Parts: sequence; C-alpha cells; structure tokens
Amino acid sequence: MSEQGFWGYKRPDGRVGVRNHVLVVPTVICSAVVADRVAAAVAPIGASLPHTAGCGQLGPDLRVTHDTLAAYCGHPNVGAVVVIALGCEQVVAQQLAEAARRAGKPAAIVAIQSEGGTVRATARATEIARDLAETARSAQREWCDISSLILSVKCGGSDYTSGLASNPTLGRVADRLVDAGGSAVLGEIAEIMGAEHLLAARATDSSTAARLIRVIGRVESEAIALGLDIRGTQPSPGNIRGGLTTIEEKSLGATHKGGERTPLEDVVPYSAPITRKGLTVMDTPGLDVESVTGMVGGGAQVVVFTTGLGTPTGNPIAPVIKITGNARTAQSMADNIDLDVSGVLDDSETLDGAADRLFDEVLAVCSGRETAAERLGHNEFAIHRRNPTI
Amino acid sequence: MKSIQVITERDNVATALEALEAGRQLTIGAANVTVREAIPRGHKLAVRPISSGEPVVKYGSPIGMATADIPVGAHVHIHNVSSTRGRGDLGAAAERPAAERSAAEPRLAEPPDE
Repeated sequence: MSEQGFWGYKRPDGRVGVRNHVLVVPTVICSAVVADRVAAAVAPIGASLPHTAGCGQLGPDLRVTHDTLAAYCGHPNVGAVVVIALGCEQVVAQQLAEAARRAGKPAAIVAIQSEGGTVRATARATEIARDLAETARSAQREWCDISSLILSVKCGGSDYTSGLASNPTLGRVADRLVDAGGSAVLGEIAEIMGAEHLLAARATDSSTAARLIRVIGRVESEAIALGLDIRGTQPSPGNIRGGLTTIEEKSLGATHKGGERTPLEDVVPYSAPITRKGLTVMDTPGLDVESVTGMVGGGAQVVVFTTGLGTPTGNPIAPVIKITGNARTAQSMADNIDLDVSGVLDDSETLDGAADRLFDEVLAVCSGRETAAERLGHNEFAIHRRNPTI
Repeated sequence: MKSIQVITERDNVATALEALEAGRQLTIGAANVTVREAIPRGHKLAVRPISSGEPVVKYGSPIGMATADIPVGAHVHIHNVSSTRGRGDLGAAAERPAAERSAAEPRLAEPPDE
C-alpha cells in the first residue's frame, strides 16, 4: 500500500467509487424521457443515461449497447440502479438489474407498458428512486489507496499547446499513478495512428503489441475501403486552424497523455472491463463523448481531459477534469476549465510542477471536489455504434 | 518568453509560440533562422531545408511527407505537407487487399473527431 490516497466509496465487490449516484437507466431510446425525469427528481444524486439505441440493432451493436449499459449499472461510482424499460425492446431490463446486483447494489425495474404509461411509470420509478437515494446518501466515504484508481486520459479540441503542455503534464500523472499501483486507459485509436511505434515498444509482450497494431490497421483500412482520405476528419478543421497539420502530428502529441514510461499491458474492446494495472488501450473512436463513455464503461472512475481550443464534455457518473495549456482558452472558457498549465509554455512552470498540481487535483476530485463539468451539468453520454439501425 | 520551441534535435520543424512576422531573426541552437513569411501562433516553420518527398519530423518522429521543397524559415502546414496514413483517396493498388478485406464486412467509418 502506498500512503497516497483519497476519500472514496468502498463497494461490496471490492471496487472503489469516487461518486455515489443513483443511476436511472433507460433500456431503449423510448424510455429515455422517463429516465431523465426520474433522475431529475432525485438530483443531484440522480444520474440518467439517455441514449438513442436499445432496439433495431444488429448483433454486434446490440451487444455493445447492452454491455455498456450493464457496465454502468455495475460501476463503482454508482450506489443504486433503477432500470426504466418500455417492454418490447431488445435490451433486457432484467440483465441490467442483474449486473447491478452482481456488484452488490440494490436495483429495481419499472416498465412503461406494464406500469400503464408515462405518468404512472414516472411516479412509480420516482418513488423507488427517492427510497434508494435516501439509503445511498447514508454511505460514508472511506480512505482508499490510490492503487484502486483507473484514470481515463483523453484529449479533445487539440491545438499546438496540447502536445507541448497539457498532454505531457497528464502523461506524467499517468506515470506516477501507475508507479503507485494504479491503472490508466487511453482510447481514440485513430489518434494513435502515427505514434503506434512508441506505444508498441512499451508493450509488455508481443501479443499485446500485435493487438495494438491490428486495431489501428483496422481503422486505417476502413478509411481506405471507403475510398476516402482520413484528412477529411483527422485532424479536424479546428485542429488545423490551431496549427496541427496531419493525423501523425496530432497522434504524437496525443499519445503523450498515456505517460512516457507506463508499460502497455492490454488492448481491450469498447467498454470492456479494464483488469490490468499499468496502461490499457481501449478500442474507441476519436469522437469525444463516445470515447469517454466507453472508458468509463471499462471501469475508469475519473477522467482527465486535456484541451487546447476548449470543450465542455462531461459524463453522467464520472468526474471529468479539464486542463489546458492555452492561456487564452483558460480565460475565454474559464467556466469549463479546472486547471491552467499554460505556464509550461512561458517557462513560469515546469512540466513536473504542473504534474504536481494536476495529481493533487485528481485526488481532491476523487475525494469529492466538484469539477467544472459537474458544476455546469455536463453529463454527455453516447454509445459507439458501427452498424446501421434496422 | 521563448518565441519558438524545437522538441527534439531530430526535428526539422519548430512550433511558433507567438505569431512571427516575415524577416524576424531567430536563434536555434548555434544556427540563425530568418522567418520567410508570417507564421501564425501555434503553426510550424522549417528549421532545416526539407526536400519534396522527405519526411517532416516533429517529436522526433515523421508527421508526414513534404509535397514541395521547403526552405528554412518557411511556413510548414497542409499546403506543403501531406499525411501518409489512411489515404483511401490515393487508391493505390497496394492498398486494395486491405480494402477488399474490409469490403467483405461492410461497416461505417469511425465517426468524425471532436
């Protein structure tokens, strides 16, 4: 045990949470409005997962939708679960409730069709959510070892400051967390393209390196198969205005955030459980909200999100800490930014000094300090889809 | 405050940390560089001559290929550098096997970035 730690929630399954939400989960888009209203009735402890899937989906997409929702039901940042079903959809409410119960959490199901419509279902589910919230509020934070943390590292709205200041600051924090026995997860496969040689060299075995190269090759060949140029989306128009010329340049700057020396231990599918200490790469798209949604699904309790141009993205159950190396963005989007590390670029602060401040911020947030995204109600959630809706 | 940053000694470009006007004299290590054209803040300029077809190097790794000869002090961006990755638009015969493999399992492309 290291002495570094934070005040978190110890769960019956042995995992540790940094928040304690009553999660209201719609099985399908058709029950999302009811879920939102029930969660709002028990705000701020209530959190909803509005999504656009859950029916009309083909096998692999349906599996990803189900697995992501089930992962949130079992997540350590959640204290109790209410599943809002419609009644005729593909995603099975009982399986979601079972995922919560397996993790030792109370869970209930309310179905709109069998309850008798929107009004009755909302009233019934709100009554249940209020009871669960009362019990959840009595949970106490306890001192937890830092090794129980899984940190999601993310960047978005990147510019030239991301690769020079905020991503290397975050990388140093990832290195320190892994040194202390914790885990980090890096997504956005398209944004490793051009930097894969650096990560593959840190893989702990050759099969992990091979899996990394394979998922990057798949994304690249998908662009090629469409006869399209990946430059249409990578870098984004804003990235290009910010001075980033190619996906390789963006990737080399972006990959810094996974640490400079963390061993690459695993490569996992979207939203799949992160089970290894050290660095895991998750197969997520670059789109910010889908990427964060998947990494939190994998078990990350906290997200550090670097930005150059500024972006508001949050998550329904995990705190998302925003840092920027762009002094103008730190001022112009002060509402959204938790930490300004622009001093790295004018030599008023070292990268190690900035990493000290970020490390302290991560632990304070894990102990309950509110992030800008939480304060502003940013709770974006989107499940990655690969196939058309049928 | 420094006006440009070269990240590794292998790099043939520097990042402008402030807007640079044409004619500005910069010192990079032992070398003097004259800025040839306006460089917006955050954009790159060549610190060594780069020939067309040569890799452009930043962070010590290639970030793309020069599509024109780039003299020292010139702006380096999408007008004279091209990515070498994910280029389905090139339609090179060498890329057809990968395309055929993917065509056997039709899928949508990754969604656009942030």
